[in-house]
Amino acid sequence: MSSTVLGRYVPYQSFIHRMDSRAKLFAMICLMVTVFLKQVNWAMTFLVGGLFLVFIMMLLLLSHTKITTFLKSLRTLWFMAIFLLIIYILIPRTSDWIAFSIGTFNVYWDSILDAAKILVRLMSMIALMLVFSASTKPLEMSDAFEWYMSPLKYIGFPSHELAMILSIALRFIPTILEDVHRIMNAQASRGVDFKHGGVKAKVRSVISLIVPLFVSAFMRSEELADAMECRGYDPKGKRTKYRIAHFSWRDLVGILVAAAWLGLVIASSVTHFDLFAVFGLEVR
Amino acid sequence: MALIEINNLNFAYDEERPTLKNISLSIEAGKYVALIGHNGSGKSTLAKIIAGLFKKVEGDIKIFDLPLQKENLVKIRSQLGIVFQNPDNQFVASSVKEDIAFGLENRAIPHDEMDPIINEVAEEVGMEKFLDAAPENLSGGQKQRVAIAGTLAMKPRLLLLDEATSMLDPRGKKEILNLIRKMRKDNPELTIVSITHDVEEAALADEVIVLNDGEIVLHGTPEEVFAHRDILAQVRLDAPFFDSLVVALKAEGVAVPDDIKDIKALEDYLCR
Repeated sequence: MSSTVLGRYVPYQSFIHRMDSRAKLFAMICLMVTVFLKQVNWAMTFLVGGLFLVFIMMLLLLSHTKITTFLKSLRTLWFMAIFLLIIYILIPRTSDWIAFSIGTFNVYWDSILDAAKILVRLMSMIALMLVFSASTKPLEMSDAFEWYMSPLKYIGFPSHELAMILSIALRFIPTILEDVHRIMNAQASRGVDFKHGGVKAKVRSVISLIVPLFVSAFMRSEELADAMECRGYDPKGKRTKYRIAHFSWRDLVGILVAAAWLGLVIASSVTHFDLFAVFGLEVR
Repeated sequence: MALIEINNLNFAYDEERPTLKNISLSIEAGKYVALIGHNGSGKSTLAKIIAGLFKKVEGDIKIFDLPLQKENLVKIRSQLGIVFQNPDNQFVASSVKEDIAFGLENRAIPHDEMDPIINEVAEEVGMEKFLDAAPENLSGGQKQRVAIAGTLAMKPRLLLLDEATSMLDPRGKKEILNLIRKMRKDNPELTIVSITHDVEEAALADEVIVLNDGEIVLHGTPEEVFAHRDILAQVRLDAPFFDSLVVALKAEGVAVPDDIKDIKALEDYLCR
């Protein structure tokens, strides 16, 4: 499914593509944490947030994601931005930094900046997600998932089974999509109208798609289970792995960069560091 | 030595209507056996029983001299490969080489030994150029060849083809039939049991077993079986084109010698 927010894999051999998915996930989580750390004042918040956005944009370019993909996924944010702005303006505040007044109602700069801060955070998160999904094959994601979940095996958590389910689900997305098209064509040729009509007609036409789709999916799963069983699959048994990810210098570099940035941001947050004060500037 | 030994097998999905009735057969090692029959004759069920996919089976079944029971299943399956009808529903992984590796992973083959095996079997089935291809970019015939490669990687003694060609287009079918011929030549010890309703495919086999309504009606070499045109007609199967042609020619008074076994030889004979 072409979800614009999650993005899709872009086949390329960039630095980020060649990173191990586990290291990449770790670095991504480090970077995500920095997005949510509080800085001492507005100027610092936007300085750190802005620098980070620039950094992520560079990553996006590096992973060969098209900027238009990013802009497209931002489209849905407009509604959110206006909604946030209204909410933040309506929240009562005790501040003397008034932007403007409508009658007796004061609109504070803090409200506007709060909304802007959330927007920058969201944009950073979306861009990060895009970088990750564009540079990581779905299967590598499920491998990373399995690896991080594997310690839970000892308390009985079925991490291998879940990863197997995930990878089979990913493998069958194109197959099921093909089914969807076939069933839609078959139903359309029998007079089902998928494009027009009111809500009731639409629901009816979707049901005519969903029911055969489920039947076919269940039949597929049963046959697949038989085939896997015949090929000696035993989730509880001893297995080896064909796909082995290797930790390389790239992963080290990636983790170090992310960890260094995380360290810097945490330090500046904890020590209430104000870069502008260092230069003698008075900022809010 | 008989690789598969079945005595008095009875099986029913539904108590009222038995699917297989009193089946007894034995299949020798190294043979290529075709099991043919019309839809609903129970031929696919028989394949699934041999693969140990059903629990409540009445009768005496021995595979590789091991009784088909729960405790022997792992051992039997490790020497048996099965290829099903639908090419999509047996492709587990997201690329050709990973799918071939799936069986090896299950048998805990060390990682370093996998690649040589994968390359070898991919070459055997002619898929060595597609090792990284995703299943959605392969044709049905190619997917079936990958499925066969996946079973060959396990070095099976018995290969079960459960209507492996029935969902393929004529080209895919031809690819698989050529592959079967090649496998027979490269590995004469491999026993192949092919379940099919394609009589042309059955004509290539060493032995043909005809099933109808859960019973064996004919069992013999293709020549013997396809000579029984009356019985074949009863069970709604045609003789292969070649056999029908020979019978028709004989009826017209053309004396076709018995040593002519294929269409090319017949053509040469007639044109002489």
